[in-house]
Amino acid sequence: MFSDFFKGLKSLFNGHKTVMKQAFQKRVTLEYPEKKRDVSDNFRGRIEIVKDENDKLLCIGCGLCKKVCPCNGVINIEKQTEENGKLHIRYERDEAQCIYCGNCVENCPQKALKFTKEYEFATDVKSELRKIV
Amino acid sequence: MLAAKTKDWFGMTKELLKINIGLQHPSTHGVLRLITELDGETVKSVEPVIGYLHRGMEKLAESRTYLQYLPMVDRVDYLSGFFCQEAFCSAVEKLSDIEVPERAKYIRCLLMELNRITSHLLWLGTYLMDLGASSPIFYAFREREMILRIFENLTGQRMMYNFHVFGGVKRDLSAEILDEIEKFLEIFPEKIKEYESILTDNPIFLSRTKGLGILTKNVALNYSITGANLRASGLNTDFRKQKPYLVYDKLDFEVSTETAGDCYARYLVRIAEMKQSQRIAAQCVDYLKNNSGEFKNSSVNPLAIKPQGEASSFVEAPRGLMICTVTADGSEKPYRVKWRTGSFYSVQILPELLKDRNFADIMAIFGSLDVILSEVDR
Repeated sequence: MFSDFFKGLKSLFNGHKTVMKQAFQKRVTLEYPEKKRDVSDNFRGRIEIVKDENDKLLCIGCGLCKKVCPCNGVINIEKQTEENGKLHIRYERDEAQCIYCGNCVENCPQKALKFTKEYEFATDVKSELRKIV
Repeated sequence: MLAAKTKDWFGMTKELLKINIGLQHPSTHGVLRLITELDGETVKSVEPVIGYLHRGMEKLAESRTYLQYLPMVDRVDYLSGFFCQEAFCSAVEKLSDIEVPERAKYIRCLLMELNRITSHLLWLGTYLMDLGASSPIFYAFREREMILRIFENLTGQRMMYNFHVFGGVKRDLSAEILDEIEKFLEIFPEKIKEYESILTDNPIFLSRTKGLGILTKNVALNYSITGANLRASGLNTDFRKQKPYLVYDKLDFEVSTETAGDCYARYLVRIAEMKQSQRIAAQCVDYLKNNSGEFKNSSVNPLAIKPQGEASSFVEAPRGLMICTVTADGSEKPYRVKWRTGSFYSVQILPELLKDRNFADIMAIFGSLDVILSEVDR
């Protein structure tokens, strides 16, 4: 019975020791909305459709991103050739469907899609998540 | 709901009380429904009802190409994504004779062992929470967070990695990431000591777990229990030793076993497994620092994989043996993908283990089996 008592006392002491050790260390948590953590360059955040310096899409409309997408995130890619011979592309993707797996970004031959570090895009309007470029 | 009436000693009617536990009970780690019949405080029967997290993982494969299905595989068991990826990738690699470079094998090994540590840490934290101790979860999450940061820096996401490709991995481990991993592996043994100092000899923890939920070797084998739960019952089985995949035959580690088969033995096995994982990971880091090589087989075109035949891969996942069987018919989509996961079998054993136990022990026993419902329903 006494041994039980001392065992209990010992574990109580150990518990307090662990807690006190942590109490004098640096905080491991962040107060989230005020302070934000940096994410790495590899981070798979919101996908951006890249434009060149003339505000023209890099996309050539090959449709490979649509082919490798597992969840219909790439809705539609329309290719139109205008009268002056210019290629016009209408790219439509749905961020609500996207699972951010990165298949489209990695398989794009033109590097026309890019991951950004943005990760806060909760909204109450679903149409905001449908991106048409 | 009241059920089955019986009479007690004095001729008074006694009724078994039917209670639903779940769907969304914090201790069920997902959505599991337990229909229990109680006689006072004693559990008379338990019926687990599964299927509330069913996403059709196997059916989804049939309408997607191999490359399209690969990101979804992480969701089979969301706490150990690398294991699911390894299971599916190695099955497809076996089917289409894709060679995996040595360095890629070591990288996969390292990531899987780190993933095993995160998975066991989460188990440790939540199990202690189930038992009523609220502080160990913070310590467990503190270390888990360090590994998840490494994974995030490497793969881009914390849990849905999608890092494997057919014939290797997506990215090589940079020197910074290897240093980060090494730094973690150096401090981790100390942290395990910390968990053990507050748990292993703690009288309250011992009284809640020792001698509780005893799973004998024969029963475990009859129910196809695998992984840490089986090793806690005294059987020395580990697919990393029995049927070495990747580079496990070149790595030095021990299989930890216990003979008691109770909740406490399962705790001891998992703690010992974390130590072994740390040991394996340290060896992998050592190899990766001193050797260079290809990190993926660049001759593979993931868009043009059209294998034929059937292949299975065996992976020793944190929650037991994971088998992925891929049947291919020569088209660009798999004909059938079948998953065998450890948790499914751990849920089956519940009626056996919980019979005639106290109501409060349900979660103490169920938690010790380390069940993830995404893995059960798939």
